[in-house]
Amino acid sequence: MLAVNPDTAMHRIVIVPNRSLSVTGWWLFYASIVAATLTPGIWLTLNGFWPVLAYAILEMLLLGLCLYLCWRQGRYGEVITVSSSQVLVDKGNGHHMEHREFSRYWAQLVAHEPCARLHPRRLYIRSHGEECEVGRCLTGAERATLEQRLAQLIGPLGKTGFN
Amino acid sequence: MYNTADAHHPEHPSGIWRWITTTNHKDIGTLYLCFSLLMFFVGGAFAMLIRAELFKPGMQLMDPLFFNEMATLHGLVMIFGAIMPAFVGLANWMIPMMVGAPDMALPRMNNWSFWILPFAFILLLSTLFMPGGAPAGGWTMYAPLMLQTGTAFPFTIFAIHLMGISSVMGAINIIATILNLRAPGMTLMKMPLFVWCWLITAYLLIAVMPVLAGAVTMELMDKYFGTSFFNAAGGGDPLLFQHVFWFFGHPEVYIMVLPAFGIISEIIPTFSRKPLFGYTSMVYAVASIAFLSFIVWAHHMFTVGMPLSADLFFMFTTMLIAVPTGVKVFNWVATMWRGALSFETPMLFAIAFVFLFTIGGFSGVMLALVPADWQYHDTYFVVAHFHYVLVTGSAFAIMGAVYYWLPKWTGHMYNETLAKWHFWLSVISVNVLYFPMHFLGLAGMNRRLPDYPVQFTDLNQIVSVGGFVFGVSQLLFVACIILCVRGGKKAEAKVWEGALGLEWTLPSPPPYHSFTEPPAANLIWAHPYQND
Repeated sequence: MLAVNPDTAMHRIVIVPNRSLSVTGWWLFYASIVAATLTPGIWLTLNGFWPVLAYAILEMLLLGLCLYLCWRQGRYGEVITVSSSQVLVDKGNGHHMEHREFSRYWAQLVAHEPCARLHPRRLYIRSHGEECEVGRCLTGAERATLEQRLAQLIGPLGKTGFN
Repeated sequence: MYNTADAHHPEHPSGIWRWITTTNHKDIGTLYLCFSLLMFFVGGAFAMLIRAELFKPGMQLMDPLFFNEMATLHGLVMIFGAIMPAFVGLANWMIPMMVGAPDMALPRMNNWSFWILPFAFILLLSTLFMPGGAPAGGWTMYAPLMLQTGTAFPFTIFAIHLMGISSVMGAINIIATILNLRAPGMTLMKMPLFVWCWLITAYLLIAVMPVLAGAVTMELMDKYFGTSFFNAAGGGDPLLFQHVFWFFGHPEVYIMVLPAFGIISEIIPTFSRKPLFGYTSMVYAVASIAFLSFIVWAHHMFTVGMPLSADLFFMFTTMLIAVPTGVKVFNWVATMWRGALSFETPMLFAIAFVFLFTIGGFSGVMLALVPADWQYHDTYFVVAHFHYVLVTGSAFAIMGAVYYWLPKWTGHMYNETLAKWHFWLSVISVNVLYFPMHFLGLAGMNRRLPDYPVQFTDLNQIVSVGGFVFGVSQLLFVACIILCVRGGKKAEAKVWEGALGLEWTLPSPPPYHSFTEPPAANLIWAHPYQND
């Protein structure tokens, strides 16, 4: 999803993926399923059937890992800041952030065509031999909107907001 | 919206490699469905052998051990190989399309969860050729009977573990997809009933699979590692295996039925041209059934000598299940009431489901009564009951679902005449097959025996004839599917006039990645599931 800062002095585009599961929802769901699985596991262990608890713990760890990976995917975000002289790209999932700086004048917006018909175009900001993908978590239509917006903002042909 | 299509499938391989390496939800759904159809025929062949042996009293075709092997493998193959994978296949195909997601949340795990299954069943079926034969202790694998199995024992246990791992991975994937990848605007109470039923089923699967894994591991340890979990001589208790097994086993029954409820809740509104009556009550009914399924397990064990208080507790909780189930049945009937009904094959299967599943439900209420269960226990009455639930319930729902969504999957309409032949032959023969079993059971014929007193001959012959006709009529099902895949009248995006839901906004057949852009929010908000 795209959010554009209306402040005209500096353009900021915030890109985050759709997350249909909130953090509270995540905890509620995980806590309820852990309770539903471990309660019989503990009860059976108290009656001498400890292998059930071992499998239950293993399974909860796997479920937790899978849900965490999905949640971490959902924490991914990109912030593209276009000032009068620079294009700054910050992206990552909070722990591992990547920061790239490009000269606004020399920066180019490049769209790589997909290798297969069903796959999406990918957008890159490129300058002086370096390039950085943007809008990775967007859908085709959203990426097209981003492409249009960035084409207006960066490079020698960037024509919005600055003199 | 994060696009899973973006992160995977850098190429789209063709040929056999496509099917081995695929991470696409539609490909994996197709694999699951084909596998389950194959297993349906393998399990069906075992059932034919059983019915051939029971055609006449006395021993005709096989020795009693082989008969028990057939009964055991028939149960295991039909439950873990036919019914469950068919529902997972339908979930794979439909859930991403129904929630507006491009694919499943964990596509690589999806591939593993399918490809474990063929190996599990090769392992299980290979036991037929091992010294001592295949497992013959019944699908419930009761100790100490199961511990008498020969070389096949550890292979069977390993196969069960593999099936469990596959089920758990499939369930985790379904949960992650439904919770994380719903399109913007699709709140939980706007989800189609099929998705809701699967979310609750996946929850059940995750909760009970460790219990099965633990139970069979303890049997393995008793046999090979000198433990005495179920060995009375070493201080264990064989009866406790039944408690542990049925703590898994009864929710397992609902795992095989809840997705069927979801399917029927999709089909009936479509062919009634009305929104589902009582959407919210349907969701709460499914959740209630799932909860109750955890506290009814000992109704399978009324005759083992539990205290009266335990008998009463499990009798009452079991009878309570009739309440939410009744809510569902009445809601389906109310949906049809004054609707503009049409009777295409999916609707015929759905109506047959409602009627015949209710028969299975009623015999379930009879079995829930402790004093009556003392007469019915381990007789053909029980066999009739659970086959009405699982064949005319789950299997009919799966067949209805295949006819309902086949035009969407293939882009072609199926042959309606052939499909109706399939339906009528199935519905008549299945009643010839299972209804007389009630009378056999009431008259005292025990289940799991290869021979019987001569007075049961007539009814057994009728049952066997019904079984053979039902088995052969399933070839029409295969013919319908093959003909539809190969060609036929072009199907539109919205195949059925009264169809509701996001999946019908995609072309038929849908693109390789379902929604590479989120569906328009107004499509979801206008979704008429909540009109009650």
